[in-house]
Amino acid sequence: MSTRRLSLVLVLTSLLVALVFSFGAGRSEWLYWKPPIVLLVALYWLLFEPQTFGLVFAFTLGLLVDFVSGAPAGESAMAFCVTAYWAQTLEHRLLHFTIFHQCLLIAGLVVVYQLISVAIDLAIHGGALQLALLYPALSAILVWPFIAGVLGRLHRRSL
Amino acid sequence: MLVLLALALALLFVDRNTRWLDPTRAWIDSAAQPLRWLSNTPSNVAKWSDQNLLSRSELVADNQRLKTEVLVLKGEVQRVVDLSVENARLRNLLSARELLKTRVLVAELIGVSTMPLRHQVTINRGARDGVFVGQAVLDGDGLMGQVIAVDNDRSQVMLISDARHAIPVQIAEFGTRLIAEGTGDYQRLQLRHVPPTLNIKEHDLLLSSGLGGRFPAGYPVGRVATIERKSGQDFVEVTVLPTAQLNRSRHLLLLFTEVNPVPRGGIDSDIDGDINNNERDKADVD
Repeated sequence: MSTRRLSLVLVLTSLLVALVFSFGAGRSEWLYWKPPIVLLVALYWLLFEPQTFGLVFAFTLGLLVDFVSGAPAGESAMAFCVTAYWAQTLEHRLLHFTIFHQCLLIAGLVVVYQLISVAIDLAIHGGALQLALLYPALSAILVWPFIAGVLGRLHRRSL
Repeated sequence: MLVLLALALALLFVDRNTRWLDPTRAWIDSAAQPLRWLSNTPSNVAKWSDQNLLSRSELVADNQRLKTEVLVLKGEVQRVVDLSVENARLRNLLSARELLKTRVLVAELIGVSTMPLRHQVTINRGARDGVFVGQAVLDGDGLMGQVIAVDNDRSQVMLISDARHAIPVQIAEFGTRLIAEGTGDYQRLQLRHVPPTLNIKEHDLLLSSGLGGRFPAGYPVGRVATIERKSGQDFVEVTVLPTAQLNRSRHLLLLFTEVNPVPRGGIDSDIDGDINNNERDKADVD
């Protein structure tokens, strides 16, 4: 029981830290490159604790991101949900991949996430489809080993 | 999965067409405020260190520049002594009144009126320092305004750009007397009753004329910015850019003039009084 609770504390802390990072705007020219950190952390938990975290977790988190970021409610929720669903189907294989393969797969997931949220944005506000929507996938490749490494270490220690 | 997708679509629809989700959004947003503050901390720290930790070389350079500036100014002050002696002699020849001796007191800006149309600032000097109502206030570049209320150790200053303010001025080159009114815009004064025949150009410097007895004469007020001649109008519309940095200066000068009371005979002391450019007061050729 106590290990379970510790794990939950870790999950909540990791998500809070991810939210803090997602707020940090940084320089405006780097804005397009900002990786969806909350999504990456959520994906980590979905992939490595699949019995506990499922689609409802992803959906709730997406909704929270929507409310906090001022996006139309349901946009990130839907994108999180679809991405999480796809991640779940890949879960069994992904765990055996090398970190490099994992990164590529994560990039693919981020592209899916970006496409869905941008599509919803276009449907609601209109606008133009830009190549910039692929940048977060590239930056996610760089960030994923770090997230997986740190969370993996903390996760194993808490078990 | 499908249920969640449907829920997401429903939420999108609701959020797009109603305001039902606004309270939730506001609540979550305020709950996230500490996180936002936390994420801003690095940039706040950077800003703070930028302001507070100037590099030594920057300070040295600054010091050097200031020293040079002081030297240059001292040189000019020497000339001023010479000029004021000469001026006094000439005035004596004209049997005009003595040159005004002035003393200044440096004051710091400690507050600005929150009403955008009320150009009023608070300074950290008051009755204890001898500040009085009607006292002229300058910055490094020109006249800023006048004291309108005095407390024990702070006072209120109305800027010349306030829409309720007017100041008697003269064109530096010709001495033509005019009145410059505030407009409520820090970058713009307006000249009142300028006849179309008046010889006035853009960039003409306007000095305080000293009429009205409130502001001392000879301090720069502004430069003519635009002149608009409209056919069928009795007067020309002239706007003036104040020389003082009305919305930027932090350190102001309070002017104490030891005025020999001016014989009021020939002077039109009413600030709002009509101006007639053909009339010249001999008593006040400043």
